[in-house]
Amino acid sequence: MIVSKRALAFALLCTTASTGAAPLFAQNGESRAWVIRADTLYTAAGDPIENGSVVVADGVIGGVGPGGGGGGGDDLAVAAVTPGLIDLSVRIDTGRWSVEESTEVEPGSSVADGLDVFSYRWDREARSGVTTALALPYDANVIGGTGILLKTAGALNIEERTVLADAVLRGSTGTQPSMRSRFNRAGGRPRDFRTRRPTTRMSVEWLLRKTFYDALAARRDSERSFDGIDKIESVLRGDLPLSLQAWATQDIRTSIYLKEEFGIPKLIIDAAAEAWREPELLVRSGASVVLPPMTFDGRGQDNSFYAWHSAQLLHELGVPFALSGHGSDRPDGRLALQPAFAMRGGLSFEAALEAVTITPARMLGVDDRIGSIEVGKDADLVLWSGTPFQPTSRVVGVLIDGRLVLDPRSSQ
Amino acid sequence: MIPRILTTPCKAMIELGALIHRSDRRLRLLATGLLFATPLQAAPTVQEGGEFYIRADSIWLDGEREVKEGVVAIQDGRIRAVGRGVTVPEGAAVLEHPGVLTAGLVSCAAALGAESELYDPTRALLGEARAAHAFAPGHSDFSEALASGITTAVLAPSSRNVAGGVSAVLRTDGSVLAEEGHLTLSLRTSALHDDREPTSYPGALSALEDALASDTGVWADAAAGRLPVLIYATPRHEVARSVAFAQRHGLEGALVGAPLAGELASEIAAAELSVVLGPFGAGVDMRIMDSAVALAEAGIPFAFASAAPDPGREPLRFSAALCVRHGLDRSTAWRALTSDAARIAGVDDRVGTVAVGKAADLVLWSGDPLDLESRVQTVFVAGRRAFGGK
Repeated sequence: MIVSKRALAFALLCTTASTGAAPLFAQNGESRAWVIRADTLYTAAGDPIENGSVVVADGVIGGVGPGGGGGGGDDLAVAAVTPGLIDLSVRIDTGRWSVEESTEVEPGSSVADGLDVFSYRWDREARSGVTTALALPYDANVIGGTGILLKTAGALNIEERTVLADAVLRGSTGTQPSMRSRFNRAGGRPRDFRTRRPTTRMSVEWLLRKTFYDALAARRDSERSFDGIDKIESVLRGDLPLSLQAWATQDIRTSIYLKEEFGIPKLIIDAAAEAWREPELLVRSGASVVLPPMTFDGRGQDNSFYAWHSAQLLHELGVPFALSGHGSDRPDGRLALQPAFAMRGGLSFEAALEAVTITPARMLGVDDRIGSIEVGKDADLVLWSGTPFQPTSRVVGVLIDGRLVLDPRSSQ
Repeated sequence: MIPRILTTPCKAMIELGALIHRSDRRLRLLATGLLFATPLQAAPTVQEGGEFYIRADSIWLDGEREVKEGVVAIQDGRIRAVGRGVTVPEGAAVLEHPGVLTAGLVSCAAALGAESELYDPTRALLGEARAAHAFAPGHSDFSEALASGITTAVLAPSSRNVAGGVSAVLRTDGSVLAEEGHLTLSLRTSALHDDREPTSYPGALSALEDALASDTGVWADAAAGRLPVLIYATPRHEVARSVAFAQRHGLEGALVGAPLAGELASEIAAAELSVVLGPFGAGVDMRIMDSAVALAEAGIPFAFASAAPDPGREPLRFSAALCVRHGLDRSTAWRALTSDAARIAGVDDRVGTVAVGKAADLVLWSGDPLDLESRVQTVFVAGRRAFGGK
């Protein structure tokens, strides 16, 4: 790894400074120049670097390589450093108030309009190592709207935290979109829109297929256009990935058949607990997968069963996949420990690291900015007390955009 | 001072006793005797309205200025003159008040005499509805408000509709001061119903944006800045959403509720919005108090809401006193009860301070109104005595 001259100058400046010297670019003690020394640096952009250091300045990585540092001043010294973790299914939302249920298909809405950036859950994610997360509408709709990729800490407003607005179009298969629908009993009067909403997998799939069908029909007849049709067109062109929740085998199949019927270039199958049951279909489709967090009995939603070796199987097949944590309130449910479960199922450390860093960044096309420790990328870093992802290691420090969110000096 | 002999339960007699010119003690003693003999006097009384004077130990003109031992001259329901040098003609009706005289308090969100009439569940957007048609003028809520020193109140539609209607500004004698106060909106979860569109924040924003595109009616008035808005919002993300929405559409007006608005002071100041807080009770969170002080430090005008008041609860005064106790300066607290509140209500040309030309909506207190040991003694609305009499 090449360390830029400027970065080296910073490193030398920091190391030769006495303990009383003021740090460079200090602003309210937040965004500063840091030199972070690690016994092992995992960059997700090559081999791990032993006894390396990362230089952070102006919120980006100024340099990374072996050596550097020297003690005192603005140095942070830890056992291991990885890029900040990226969760494509963090599930922090305002629940049913984030999705407009009066229509089942709502491609024109954005979850940004219903986001609570003040929620303590973001802070919890940040302090557990997730530095970037995809916020999605709650899956009460067949198509709920677009999701937004944002940093988990920083300014208390959405604009400054946004990495990518309209990052994906979100939909859901399975039972969740029909959970809050009501049967219209024979002879009874429909009271409200809930009796119109789908009640079975058939009608959920029908609505998904109808939406794309109508978008194609609107190309010939503009009278058939609808609100948010531009998002469907973006999905059909491949400019906007479609993220579909599909836990169980039949729902994964449904998602892939939809992709193939309409030639959707980018499909992300979220919470694909039973992906391990459909290897050929996944390879054939070219879809990407986001795996849910492991549960103590392997049971997921919709009676799905999540096998231990799921991640390793997908890796062997060459299916792009990411791990996710669903914003769990339990430490073992969060993203930082998911690689450990994947490794238990046979996945290599390198592949597990990629599944929570560079791969999710690549799936959303933001890998030029985040996902690995390389010069010029955002200074989103996780500092560990030992080998990352081991149950015996802790996240002791987190930086987001060069700001220290969790301080290793007070948490070690 | 009124002689002790006159402190009988008969308010009429006490009033008459107060009218007698204090400089002539013999005349006063004679009149005292006459009082018991003939309760009805030929001398002018304050109940009849018209022209009369109040001499008070202290007159609070506004949040900053006080006149000691001054006189207010009231004519035709308005303040004709105020100060130390106001001449009181011979034989004029004068009310002596050994206490503090101030402008009446202004509540920026109340539900007086309008139980269950301010919320219509059939439509989420009912922007053209008017709260002015929803209240009963003779309702006991008004006398309870008067007992708290409130003379002006904004009757605001409920927060349970995305657009609840247009608020009315009332006098607490049951009359209407302004029939069109504010277009009342709500971006709270209470406005997002399970069985009616919109069910969500994105849906509510979308519905409001469609409505604001209208070129006539209250929506056009609000979009043009001719009609201010009230926006109900509670947690910080709702406040942030409401402020961004108001700023995007150039709306003027105030947030309602917003207990931690002070933590978003720079955004609110940039949008030039005001805030209506409370009412606060004794158990109010200190963080909410910090927020109120932060609003003041950022120069953001704020006022208080009063739920339909319980007897003796005095929600506005209690809220202000709690803020002062927490460090809010008295001047800002008083303005939040009166002049800033009147400005938020859009009636600051008529009420909110004791000034020439303004309505004679006045309260006579036993002492400093920001001290909870003081009591409301008499309230005048449009120059007529509406409460009390001591």
